[in-house]
Amino acid sequence: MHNSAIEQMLKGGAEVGQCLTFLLFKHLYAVPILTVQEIRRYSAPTPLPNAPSYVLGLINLRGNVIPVFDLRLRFGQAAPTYDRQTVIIIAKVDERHVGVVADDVVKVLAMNREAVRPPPPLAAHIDTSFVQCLLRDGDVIVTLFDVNKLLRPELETLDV
Amino acid sequence: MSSDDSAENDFTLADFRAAFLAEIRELILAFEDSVLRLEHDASDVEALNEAFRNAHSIKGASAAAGHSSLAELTHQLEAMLDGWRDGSLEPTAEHFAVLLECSDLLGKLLDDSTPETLEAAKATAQQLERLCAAGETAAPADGTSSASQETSQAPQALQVHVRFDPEAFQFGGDPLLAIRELLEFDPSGEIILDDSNLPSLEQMQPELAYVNYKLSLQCSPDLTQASVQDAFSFFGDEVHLEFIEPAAPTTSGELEEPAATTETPATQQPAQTTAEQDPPAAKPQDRRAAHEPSTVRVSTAKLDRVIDLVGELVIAQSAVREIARGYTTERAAALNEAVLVAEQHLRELQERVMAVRMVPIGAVFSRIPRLVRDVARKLNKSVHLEVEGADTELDKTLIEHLLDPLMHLVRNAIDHGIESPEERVAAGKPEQATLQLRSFGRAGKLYIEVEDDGKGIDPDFVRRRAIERGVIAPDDDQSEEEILQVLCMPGFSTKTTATDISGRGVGLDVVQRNIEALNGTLRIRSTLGAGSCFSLRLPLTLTIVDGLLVSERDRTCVLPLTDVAFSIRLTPQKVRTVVGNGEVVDLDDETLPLLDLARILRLPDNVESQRELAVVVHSGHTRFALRVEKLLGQSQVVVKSIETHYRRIPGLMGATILGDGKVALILDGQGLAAAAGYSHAEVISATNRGTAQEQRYAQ
Repeated sequence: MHNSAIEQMLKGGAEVGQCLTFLLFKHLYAVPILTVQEIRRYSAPTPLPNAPSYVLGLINLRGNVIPVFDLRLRFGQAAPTYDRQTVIIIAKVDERHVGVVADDVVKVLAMNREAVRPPPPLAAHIDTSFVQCLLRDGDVIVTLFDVNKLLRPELETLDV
Repeated sequence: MSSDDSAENDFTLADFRAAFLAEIRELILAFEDSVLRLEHDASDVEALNEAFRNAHSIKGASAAAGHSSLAELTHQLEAMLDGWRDGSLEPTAEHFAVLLECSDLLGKLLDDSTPETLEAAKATAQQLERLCAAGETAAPADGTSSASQETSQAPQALQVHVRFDPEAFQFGGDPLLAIRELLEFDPSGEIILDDSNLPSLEQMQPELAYVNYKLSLQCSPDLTQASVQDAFSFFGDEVHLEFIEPAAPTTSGELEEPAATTETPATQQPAQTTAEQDPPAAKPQDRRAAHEPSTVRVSTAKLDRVIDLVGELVIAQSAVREIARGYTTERAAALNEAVLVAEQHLRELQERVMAVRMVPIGAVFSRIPRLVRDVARKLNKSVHLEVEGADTELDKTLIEHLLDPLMHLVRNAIDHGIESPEERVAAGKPEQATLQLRSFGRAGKLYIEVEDDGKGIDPDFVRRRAIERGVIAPDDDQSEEEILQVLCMPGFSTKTTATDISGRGVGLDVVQRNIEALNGTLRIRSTLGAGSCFSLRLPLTLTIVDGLLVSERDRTCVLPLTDVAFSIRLTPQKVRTVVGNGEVVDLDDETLPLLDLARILRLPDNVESQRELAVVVHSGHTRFALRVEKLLGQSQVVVKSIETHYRRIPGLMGATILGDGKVALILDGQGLAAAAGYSHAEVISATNRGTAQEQRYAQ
């Protein structure tokens, strides 16, 4: 669905949607605004046994127990900090809600035709399969995530 | 639902139909049950009457819901049962076979009336008729075969004259609902009131229908003559649809199979006949499918208790508010008391609301008699089924997931456990085997057992096979009972040839996995030559547990109380390190593996502080001690599924939210042992080894 939106954007059409940009260790990333449920101040999750380090654990979202991921750890940053700026972005993946830690949220960015760049074939520092496209915001390049591709594999039950 | 909520009246025709279909389904099951009882004992008059009553109700309900194909088949059923009742027909094995086939077909017709199913239904109806005719003189009179030639493709504009019989309102039908449904397909459709039947005011009877309609609608793929008939089907015989066709009808290839409508009950009107050809995959049925899984039928008594309690709670709450409003320190005691009362009500309310989710397991058990009959027959075995405890209640969600595993166990028992009649006689057993299906509650858990008096399982054979497959080491010394658990391991099958009843090497492991997903366990007992028993142990409900709160460096976890045996103080003398298996703890009469909560939670090793508490966890066939830092006490907690937003995590039953809003993990005794790197066998052999060691020490 998002991909077709991007294609449409590349073809013509002016402003198609908006995205939320946020900071992960000095780099700017974004997710489509429609996938964002809410933004919360960081509070320490309850850790899970046998989980990879970037799965921080579970938090209580109004009576629902939802997982929190720290992409900084997943992308290889060794010791990320958790301070007063740190937030948890609650994203929707299908029917589920998941939390994603960010150093800070920056702003809501309008995605228009001029801003969109197709995703790079390869990037040195991260896997790009879950990058939907790049966006130019003034002098800055923002990486737009495909939330589904990024998070859904995390949610599938492993068959033990 | 969302597709038809445009009208302010949100109880639509589709809802009526869904309710009807659910009822028919139950009736079919009840019918099957009575037929099986009859087959068992042909002189059972009560069963015969019940079968007849059920068949009759199915006929009525399905006619009202517009399922005439069903009604027709049931009509023939009735004829046969009637023959039995008045003695003009003698029940034979063939009769029973056909009746049960009918019962299957009725279910299929409800699900989707594909041309094949309709064809099969027709064939079966004819077979029934033939069987009846063989015993009696004549079959019911044929209606003049299909008066309708209305299968032609509808022209562009569809004009219908809808006329109601005066009694049309007697069954609660509302023409407006039907018309509204049609207008959804064509909002610009025209409705002309036909008041030609309207009597003068003095003569008017309030409960009779006088008003008719002329509808003028634009045809579309969703709006055909069939859908118009469908919309009015609720009125059954009380409505007459007259299609006014302005142009010459064009026959279409798609709507073939016109004459499939035969033998309509003589009372039906010609225009009615096409309504029986429910278009395959008709819309309302799709909606029904989407609705069905989420309903619970609740006894009014249960509901009344809940409503009463809510009333009490409101009163209690207002008492608290009153005291709080004029609060002075002198009134602290009164406030405390009022809060306590409210709390009590709240707890009871919670229990009652939970009880609403509890349904008798009979809903699952009722499917088993038919299965036993069919499988036994197929395998030429004679099996008598005994059912016990069908009224045991358990959570609706569990019920839904129990049918498959249970059916599997029953099939297994008949196929693998029970011997052929000849073998049984040779072994000095009665020719007819007994299969017991029972359910009971004990210590906060639900047990479901499938027990046969067949040949039992040879533990030596299982051991040999397990060694052959490398599942266990040749020098492992499990007990007989432990050996049997090996049967639940993936890919392990003792039957040398696969059958189409069960086998193929998948089986018990799948059952075990399904049961474990419900936080339950599967346990096998067997006596060679005397029979086997497969025992399922399940939590009564998945949503609330009584838990023991334990903590480790400010991390609180919950252990289900049903898994906790007792707690112990660890002294250095009691704890021993066993090479390769970590630690064990010596108790007075047993030696248990000692797990560590800190390690399970992946907390960094602490300098051996004063951590000398442990809880003995006993869950299913696993028993071990769990070292914790603190015991915080008991509490009832609400189980939140981690799977809802994340995924299933081995070792955890779920999570809960504590009073301070933090998430706490609910540990699952068995899963915990596994997650901590102890396989079931290891836990056991560690125990054995420990015991052996202890004995050595003792000497």
